[in-house]
Amino acid sequence: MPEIIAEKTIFTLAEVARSIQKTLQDRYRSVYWIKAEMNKLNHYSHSGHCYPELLEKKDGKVIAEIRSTLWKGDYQRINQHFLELTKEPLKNGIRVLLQASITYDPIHGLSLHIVDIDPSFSLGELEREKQLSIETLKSHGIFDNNKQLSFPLLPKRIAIISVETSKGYADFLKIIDGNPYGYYFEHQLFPALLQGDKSVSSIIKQLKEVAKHADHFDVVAIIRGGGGEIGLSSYNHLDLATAIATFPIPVITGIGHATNETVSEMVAYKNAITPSELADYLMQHFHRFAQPITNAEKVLQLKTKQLLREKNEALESTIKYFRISTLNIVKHHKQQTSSLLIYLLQHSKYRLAHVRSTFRQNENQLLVQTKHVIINGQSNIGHLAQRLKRENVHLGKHFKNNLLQLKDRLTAQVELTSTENQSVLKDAEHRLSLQSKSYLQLKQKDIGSWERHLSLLDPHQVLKRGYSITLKAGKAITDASTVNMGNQIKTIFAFGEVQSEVTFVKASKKTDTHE
Amino acid sequence: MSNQLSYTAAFEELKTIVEEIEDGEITVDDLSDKVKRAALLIKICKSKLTETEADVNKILEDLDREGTGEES
Repeated sequence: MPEIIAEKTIFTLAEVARSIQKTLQDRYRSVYWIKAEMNKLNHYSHSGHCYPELLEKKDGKVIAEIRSTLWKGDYQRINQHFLELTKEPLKNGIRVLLQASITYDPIHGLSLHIVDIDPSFSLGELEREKQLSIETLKSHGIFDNNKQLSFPLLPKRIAIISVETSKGYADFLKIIDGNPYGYYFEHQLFPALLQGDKSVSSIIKQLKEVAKHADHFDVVAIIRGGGGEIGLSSYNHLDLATAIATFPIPVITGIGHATNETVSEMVAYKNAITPSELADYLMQHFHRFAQPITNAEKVLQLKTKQLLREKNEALESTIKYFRISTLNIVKHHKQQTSSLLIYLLQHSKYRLAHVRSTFRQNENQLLVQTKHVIINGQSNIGHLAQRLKRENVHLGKHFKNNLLQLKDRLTAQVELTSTENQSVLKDAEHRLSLQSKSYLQLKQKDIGSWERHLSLLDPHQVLKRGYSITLKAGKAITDASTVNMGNQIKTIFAFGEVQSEVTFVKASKKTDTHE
Repeated sequence: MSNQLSYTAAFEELKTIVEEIEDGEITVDDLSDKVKRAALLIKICKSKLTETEADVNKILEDLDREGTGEES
């Protein structure tokens, strides 16, 4: 009961609270359907209760906010419905249509007590968000960006965004690492959360990490597995879809679900339904690369052999043809030769016979003529011999007399000449010795007079008389005009020499030097 | 063995040689060289399929470096 003090009616806080509580209870008797954004679910796992934070926004601004309660039993039932219909659990940031009563508690204040949430409304909202993401990506012109990248010939280096313990990751590795063809994939795990609200920022963070080393990777594979169909709405998130669509290298996804494709999967270069299927997709690329190489090997062996065989055959046939042609030519020439030989033989015989008969005729003629010449010669020689004999006897006597006379005259002449020469020689010898002696005496006299002259001309003698020689650069000075001021000159005396510098020059017939 | 040659380049060159051989455009003079080259290319391509490379280790090193860099 309120007290009345100095005309003032005073309520206690509890009285006010109780009054509000009563008023509200009377005013809001039933339960109401309310549209709101569930900003935070605030689920306490220990108690199992939820205290959702409900908002309404307009143009990005909060225009209403009321706390709410969702008891454990209601939460479990509602969440179950949600999962069945939307494939999403109740979570932060979704728009919901909820049924609630309005309660007021004196201690906890105003709140909505949620008794039901309509999942079909949220489903529509989720779908609307998805469509919005798609439209935004398309309006920015980046929806097909990743798809338009050229896929590497051999997707060998793979950056994997996944959870190390997930079944999908294990399935994927099992196929690519354990392949029976010996193909070697290089892969590097970039661990991230792949489910729930935090997956968006977690995946984006790892995508950025991969992008730093984009040169080292051929593709990025986002692999999720074992999570069923639940919690995929984060893959419709605009930020994640944008990060994938604009990624510099192809992004391939194996998120692992069968129903509605998410936006992230739509914009990825390739979406395989499951991680295993994704691994097969990569294997296909390796096969596509390996097959032509195997073919190339076969073609090389086959065609090389074939080509060599063809060339060999061509060569063989050419050789064969060459041999036949050669033989033909040889045969032809042989025939020609033999016919020529026969002709030559016949012709030769004929010529020989002709020459022989001519020769015989000549021989006979020669014999007759020779006999005739010999007979003439013999008779001539006989005559000549007789004449020669007679002439010889006569000539022999005449020559003998002449020779004896000549011999006597020669001997007398020789004796006379030798005595004459001897006297002339002796005379000459005597005269020569006299002449030599007088000549030598004369010359000795001459030399003595020259010696005296020379001693007069000896410079040393001249210098002794007081004369001196002045030199410039080793040469005697005879004209003062050849000397300049400051020149070094050398004066030689009979005994010793002086070095001096020219301080005065007067060019005339007389030269003066001063020190 | 040439590691500078990328497998895309090796693969393209191999295809060209095989086409030439198939079309019989190759002379016997060139045959030996081309076959030798093709064999090398096949070897390169095959090893690319199965070979281990140190590339990933290099990235891991880079990542580690960055990690310690941020801490200090």
